Amino acid sequence: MPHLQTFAEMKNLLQAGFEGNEESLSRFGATYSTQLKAYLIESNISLTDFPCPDEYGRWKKLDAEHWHVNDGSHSPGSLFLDSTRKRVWILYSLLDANESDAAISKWIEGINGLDRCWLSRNQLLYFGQVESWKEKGIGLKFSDGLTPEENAGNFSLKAWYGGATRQLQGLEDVLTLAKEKFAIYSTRWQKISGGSVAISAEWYSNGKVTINRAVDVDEVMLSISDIANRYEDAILEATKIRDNKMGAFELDFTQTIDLDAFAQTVSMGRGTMNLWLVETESESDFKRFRGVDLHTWDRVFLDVGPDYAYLTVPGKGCVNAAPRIATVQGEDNAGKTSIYFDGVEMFA
Amino acid sequence: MPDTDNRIVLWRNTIQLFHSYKKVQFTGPFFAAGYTNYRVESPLSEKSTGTPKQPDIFACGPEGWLAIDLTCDDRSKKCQLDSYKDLDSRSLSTYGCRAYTTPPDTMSSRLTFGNDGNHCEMVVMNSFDLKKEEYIQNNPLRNALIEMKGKNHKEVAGDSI
Repeated sequence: MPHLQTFAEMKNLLQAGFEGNEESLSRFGATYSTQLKAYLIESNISLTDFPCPDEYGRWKKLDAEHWHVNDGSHSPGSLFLDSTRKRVWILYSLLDANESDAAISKWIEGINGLDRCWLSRNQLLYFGQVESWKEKGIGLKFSDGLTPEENAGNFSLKAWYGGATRQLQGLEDVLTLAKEKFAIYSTRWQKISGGSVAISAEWYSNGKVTINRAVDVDEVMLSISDIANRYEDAILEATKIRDNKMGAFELDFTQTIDLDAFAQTVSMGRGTMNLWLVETESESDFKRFRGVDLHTWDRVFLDVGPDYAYLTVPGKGCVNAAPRIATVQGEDNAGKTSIYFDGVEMFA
Repeated sequence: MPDTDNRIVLWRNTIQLFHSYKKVQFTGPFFAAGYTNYRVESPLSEKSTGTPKQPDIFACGPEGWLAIDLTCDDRSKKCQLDSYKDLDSRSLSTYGCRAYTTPPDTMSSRLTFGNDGNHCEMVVMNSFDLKKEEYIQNNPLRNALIEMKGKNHKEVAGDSI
């Protein structure tokens, strides 16, 4: 990878990657260049003095405000950070998928104040409302992580949609039913322009997107920027409502959870939920916890029932815990999960 | 003048306003106000809906940004320009620009005055003219545009572009 100096060079590099893949796709039926990935990062920290992912050098400013590139001996010019938004950064990556996912996960976990953007169902389905976009696939997940492995009722499904979906009677109904019962962890979208595919992208509930195909770098970045804007608006709105009303976020699950197994998991203080809680009250159908959100070490209170939870983030604590718990719990053991505050759906 | 020629004049004379030409001692008002980073026909997103909108030109300045539609048509550009007020400035990051806390200043550029509602209108035919400049929120930009009134485009045209 080159040692990039300017924003224009960065965009030229991304554009060249798209064009190379389009050319190889038309000639050989497959893409060979690394596909662009982007990660939406929820941030509570300022821009000064934050490190690059391990082994990838240091952040170097590009000539455009709020844009940085990794610079060092290992894979320079393969990570780009857009910190234009105060609460949601976009990290673009040209690393190989496995290497990239591992490096970004480690980076987020290692910096107090950074978290992923945990995309809700409506955010994952957002492009369905935008002209020229078509839903082309979906990923559903139910790990049943609170149940011992031998008895776990796991379910996962990844489906690509095309004309063939209609050839099997009832298949569309099954997909619709499954979507309503289980958590969505990925969606695949195509943008059609002038009769051909302009963008093909897969969005994941942990805030990652993979650009499988694209024609124009501006269009790609704009589509990613749209989701970042929506997430930032949701975080700001949730923070404002929490500050004004001092209430709790209500999480509604479509499937009942095992409260004892849940208590055991959160008391360990590890895992994707990133909570460290102590049980303070217990009934047969209700448990109360207090503890910290390891993302920012803010205090949190959690009341959990078989198919609901109330999360209180007091003071100035970060409200990103609400979509995180909804996403992780939903995919792990609670099915489709919605977040409400005072009866109004949040992160929608 | 044939329509194609009109459009060339319209675009050429509007683009000039973003530049400075030492040889003919011309400084365009957008250049003077610091709006040197401009893009032609590049998409931006509308707030809330994410609908893509494509002003003919948008530009970023030190304290504000702007969106311009160019037209040789008599019909009003009001609706289009109104919609640019809802553009999300965070989508400017796609072009390496920062986000702004205010909506863009919106204006039309024409060869003869039209009626584009509550938006500033520029005429760039022979000499530069301006009306409804009171709708420009950014003071340095408004002052620079007023300063440009009456200056001739033709002096610059053949020489610089």
